[in-house]
Amino acid sequence: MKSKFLFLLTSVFCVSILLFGVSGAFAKDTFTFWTWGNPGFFQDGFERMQVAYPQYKVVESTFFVAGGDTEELIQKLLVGWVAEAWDSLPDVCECPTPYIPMFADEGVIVDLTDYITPYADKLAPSTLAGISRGDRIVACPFSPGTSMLWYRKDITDTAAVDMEAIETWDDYIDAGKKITASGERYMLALHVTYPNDILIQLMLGQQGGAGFFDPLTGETVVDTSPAMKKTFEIIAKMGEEGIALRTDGWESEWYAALENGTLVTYPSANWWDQEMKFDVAESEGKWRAMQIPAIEPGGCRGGLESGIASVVAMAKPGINMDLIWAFMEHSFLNAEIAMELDKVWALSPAYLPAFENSYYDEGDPYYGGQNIKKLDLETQKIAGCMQYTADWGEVMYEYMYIAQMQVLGGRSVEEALKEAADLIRENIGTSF
Amino acid sequence: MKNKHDIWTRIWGYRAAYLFISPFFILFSIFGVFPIGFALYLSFVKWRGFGAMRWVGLGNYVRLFGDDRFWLSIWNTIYLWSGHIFIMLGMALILAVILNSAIKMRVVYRTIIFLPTCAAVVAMALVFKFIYQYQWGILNLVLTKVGLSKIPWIASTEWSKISVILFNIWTDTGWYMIIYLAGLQSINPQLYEAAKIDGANTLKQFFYITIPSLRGIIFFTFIVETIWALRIFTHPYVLTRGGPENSTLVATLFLYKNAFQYLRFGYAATIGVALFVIVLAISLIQIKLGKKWAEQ
Repeated sequence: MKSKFLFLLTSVFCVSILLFGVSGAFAKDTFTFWTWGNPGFFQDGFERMQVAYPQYKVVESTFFVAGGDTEELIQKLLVGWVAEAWDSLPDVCECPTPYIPMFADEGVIVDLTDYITPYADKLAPSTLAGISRGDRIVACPFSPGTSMLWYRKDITDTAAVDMEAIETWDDYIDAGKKITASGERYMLALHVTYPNDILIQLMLGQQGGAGFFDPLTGETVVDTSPAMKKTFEIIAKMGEEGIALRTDGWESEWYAALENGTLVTYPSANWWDQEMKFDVAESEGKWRAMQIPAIEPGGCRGGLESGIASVVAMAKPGINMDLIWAFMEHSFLNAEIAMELDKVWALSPAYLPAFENSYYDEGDPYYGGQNIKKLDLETQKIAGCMQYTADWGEVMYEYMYIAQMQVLGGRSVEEALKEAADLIRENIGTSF
Repeated sequence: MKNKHDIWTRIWGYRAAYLFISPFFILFSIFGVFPIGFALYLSFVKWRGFGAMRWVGLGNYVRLFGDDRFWLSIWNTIYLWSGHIFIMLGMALILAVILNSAIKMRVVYRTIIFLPTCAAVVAMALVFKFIYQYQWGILNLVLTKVGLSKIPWIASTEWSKISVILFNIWTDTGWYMIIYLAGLQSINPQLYEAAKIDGANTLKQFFYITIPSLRGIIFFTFIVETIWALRIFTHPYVLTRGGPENSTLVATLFLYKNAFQYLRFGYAATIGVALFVIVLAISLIQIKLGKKWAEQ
């Protein structure tokens, strides 16, 4: 009796193992997507694609938040990639722009040149630059981080500062002096424990898409680039003139300062328009937006913050490129769908024809009826994207941070950038 | 040859016993030995994770010894260790002695002091970050109320280390207090009674009975806390991210940044190996010096 029971138990166990092992053979088509942001946006796009492409109706999709930030997502990708655990890796993944060069060079992502080229003329030049590696297009864009200067109109009016008259960063600093004269307000925040990466990206972007390295030789240009010098001179001046509150962004103190009017402006990107409605909801109707000031009179008034929000196809074995492209094209390179997705999820499209819809003629009550979307479109067309390389993160968060703290502490821009460049040469060498 | 054959025969004879203990060794090999060996190998290569590994020999070590940030991180780690260990263990001992005496509500006090040990460090660090804020932080609010000026607790290179030290003391004192309490309760009360009869006051009892009786435990806590302090990560990571200007960049944070932010796994492994050697050396010195003292 006992041996019969053991035999039965062993048989059940063996059959279970066998079924588990062959279950993959009966599996349906699957699609996995990773993001660090809102998976609902991508899932919505995918489901709309399934309606348009009935052959993909049976595809089982998973939209997974692979971490609270880009770092965590990259770490998870890395572990899966190194272990060659292809099943655990996504088919498509949201990709931070600074990682695109490395992923493209190492063959981690699929070359999308043939797919996206027909749409290239309907993307802003900066968008195209951000998703390209050399002459290859390696990512599908869905929302560029177009620069915006957010400001408190009620406070600037009271201080008799005409924000629309501000043309250059020097004008901005002069206006800041008026604002801070009361001793209770600051024009902007400058971070303490990490660099003012947004300001640096925007300013380098608006100076012809400069970067930390020479794209041809890979040598650092941190101490030789006029764009870098100018950027640091402006930040140093902001510190010298006392117009900046020294606090880290995204902390409770910073949110409170935005809400109570201690901080009067915030140079940032387009996606902040929705964040503001939740994070500083009480100051509804008091905020407005304008293009960021130019470096020199008549100069470019647009840059990109963190490049372009885009998705990449992972170059893992067995991917279904037809399905992947159907998702990308239908969701992000289709004027109607891109607009519909923006309507629901508030992410300004990268695909410019989407802006032709009358939805983009409407003003936003939170911004006193101002049409933020039109401003976004105008800026997107002229914005520059800074050049990203594989070592971007280390340069920005290590050497640029220290250099910036030094110039804010009174050290000369030339000296600080020379020291940073020497450290980059010593620790990184060349970077492409 | 014969000996080898004998060994295998004996192993085969005890095969059931080896089979039963094998899961530990298999798991330890996979999750313990292999990562250590792989980390050692990584320290001789340049590798970003996604691409191919490039053998650089001792290149990473040469770079490490010339890297000012590494030495700064070691200095910061030692600073944070020396800044808190004596104060914290001293406070824990004093609190343990007080709460071992017959004071009212001592269980409540013990619980309150031990409570920070039970809470998640990350959550507490976020709360402390709020307390330390310059503009509207609770600590500065109190300072301004009593007529003092605000302090940039985590926003200045001068105060950031002190802020991390204070937070560390707050989180860990309760833990060591409990260990000392356990030790105090194992001391024979007759020693104190005899001392009292001999006319020893409380202070003398403390220095001539309590401290000598707790030598072994004090030595143990000192070693354990030193090892923990050399591995400190969460406190500075959440509070300051190593800033401002790397003033709270500790060795483990430097390792983390290189590995997971800059994807320099070879260099990060080199930092790990160097840190291991440093911790080992300090621990051996401590054991050598402390053993005599503990055995007295």
